[in-house]
Amino acid sequence: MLVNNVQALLLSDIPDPSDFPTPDLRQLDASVRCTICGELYDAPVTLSCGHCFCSLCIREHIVKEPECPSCRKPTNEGQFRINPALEEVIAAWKTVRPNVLQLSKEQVERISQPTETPRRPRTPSRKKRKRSLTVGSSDDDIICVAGPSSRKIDVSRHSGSLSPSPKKNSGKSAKRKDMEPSSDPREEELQTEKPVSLVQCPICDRFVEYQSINTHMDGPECTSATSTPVGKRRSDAKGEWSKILGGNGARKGKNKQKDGSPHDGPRERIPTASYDVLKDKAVKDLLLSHKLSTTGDRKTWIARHQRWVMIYNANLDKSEVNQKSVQDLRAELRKWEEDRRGRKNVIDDPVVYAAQHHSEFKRLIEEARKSKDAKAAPTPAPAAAPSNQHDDDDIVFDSEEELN
Amino acid sequence: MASISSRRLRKELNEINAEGCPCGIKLLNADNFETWFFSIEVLGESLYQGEVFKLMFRFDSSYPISSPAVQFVVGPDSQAPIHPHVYSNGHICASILGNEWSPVLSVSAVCVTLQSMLASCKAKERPVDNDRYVRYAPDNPKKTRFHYDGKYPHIQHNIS
Repeated sequence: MLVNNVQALLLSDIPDPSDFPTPDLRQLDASVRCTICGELYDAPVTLSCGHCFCSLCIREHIVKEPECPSCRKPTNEGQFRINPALEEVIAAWKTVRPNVLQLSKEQVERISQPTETPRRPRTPSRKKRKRSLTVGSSDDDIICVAGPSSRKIDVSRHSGSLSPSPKKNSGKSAKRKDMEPSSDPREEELQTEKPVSLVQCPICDRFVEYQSINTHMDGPECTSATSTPVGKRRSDAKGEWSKILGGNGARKGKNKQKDGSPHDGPRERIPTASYDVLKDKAVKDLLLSHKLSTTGDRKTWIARHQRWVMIYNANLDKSEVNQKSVQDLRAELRKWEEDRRGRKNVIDDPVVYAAQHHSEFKRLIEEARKSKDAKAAPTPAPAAAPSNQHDDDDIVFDSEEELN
Repeated sequence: MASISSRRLRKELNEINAEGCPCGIKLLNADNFETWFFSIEVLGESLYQGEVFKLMFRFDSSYPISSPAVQFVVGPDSQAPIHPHVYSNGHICASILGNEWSPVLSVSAVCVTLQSMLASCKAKERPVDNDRYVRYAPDNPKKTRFHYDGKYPHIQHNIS
């Protein structure tokens, strides 16, 4: 089952620390990823022991085991603290990551070309040695190439911030840093991708190219709600202030925010329910109070509500700009349920299924009898058809359930 | 949509491909995100010198929140190691695969743990209740509730 999905996944590109050719960048990328799901932190929360996870990941985990996955210190939901600083880092890293990736790959290529070394990750110390070697060879071409690339790597090490870093490099590269257009044509190409002359739009706080600021302010995109994270946060702040000051603090900004805002009213965390003490009707009411569907049996309801509480509360651990709308969360819940159903391999008609797989069942029973007879001998190889057997187990179980 | 488990496994596979497995462990087969095979041997001084074993990992869709099902493959070309915590059908009694599993652990972390479990073995013997367990053992070792305390494992309750 799901063969196509697996194939697609094998081919698809999933961002991963191993994308980076150098170990230090790998380290950087790995250190902003959740150790449970391996993705860049989504709504990072910190536990009392200091370890940090995606809110949804740790919520899923503590249902099973109320302890920190890293250090096993006992924990609970009340100890979670949101981590907006890290969230900002993630947002910045997400935007800059493709660029850094490209630059680092190019740099490795450039270094490997003149010296004809194989393209593989190398330690910083080795890199430095190689660089000084090429500089020492007093070949004009090589100096030209090595200068800018060494600067680039420094930039990327500072998680993409473009602030100039103190450098032990030669004066040549320091000077290069100031004058943006470089002699390297490839580098120039890269820079034209990101226009340099950006100004902040006074209305929507978005960064727009200087030349097109007037057309932007007149155009429709200026008033639409989608803006850069930074811009959005500012307008959110305006909204907050106007709430405090009452009504007409910042009339325009507030109205706009309301129109485009995905949330309706203040959102509070949903308390977890102890389903065991609730009657069917009460569980159903819980679902209805969140406008969730009530299809399925009690077990499905509980699973649905549990998941909803998790998704909903995890969403509130994001900073307000990144929070999803209730509609999006509902869609997420639906998708989760569909994935679950697809996996469970539900059989519509157990009688037909039993008839279809009669020979296989017979064979398995035969095998089981044989192995029971020969109990002194080692059991038949579990490696032979373990996954099939496993599936069958589940299927039989499901169909029994349906019969009940 | 790629599920979390497949994405996570894909990342682990990337890492294995990029940096290689730990010493003595080799990836044999990882064509899908349900079953992986590894070969494992203990390097250096140990009771298992020169022996190579085959490990099977089975993942369900709640990985890494729930542990993978890990066992030694018993077949024509490989046997389960003789070890006080390894049953002759390949099932392993290791707390890390049961109640001490943590989602921050990974496939290679499990391999290393099992490797050190073998390396620290003092006497090659089967678990005391091997025959009883193997006779009624479920196919999936995760369905067994092992009891982890004490020197020798014993099965408290078989929930298959």
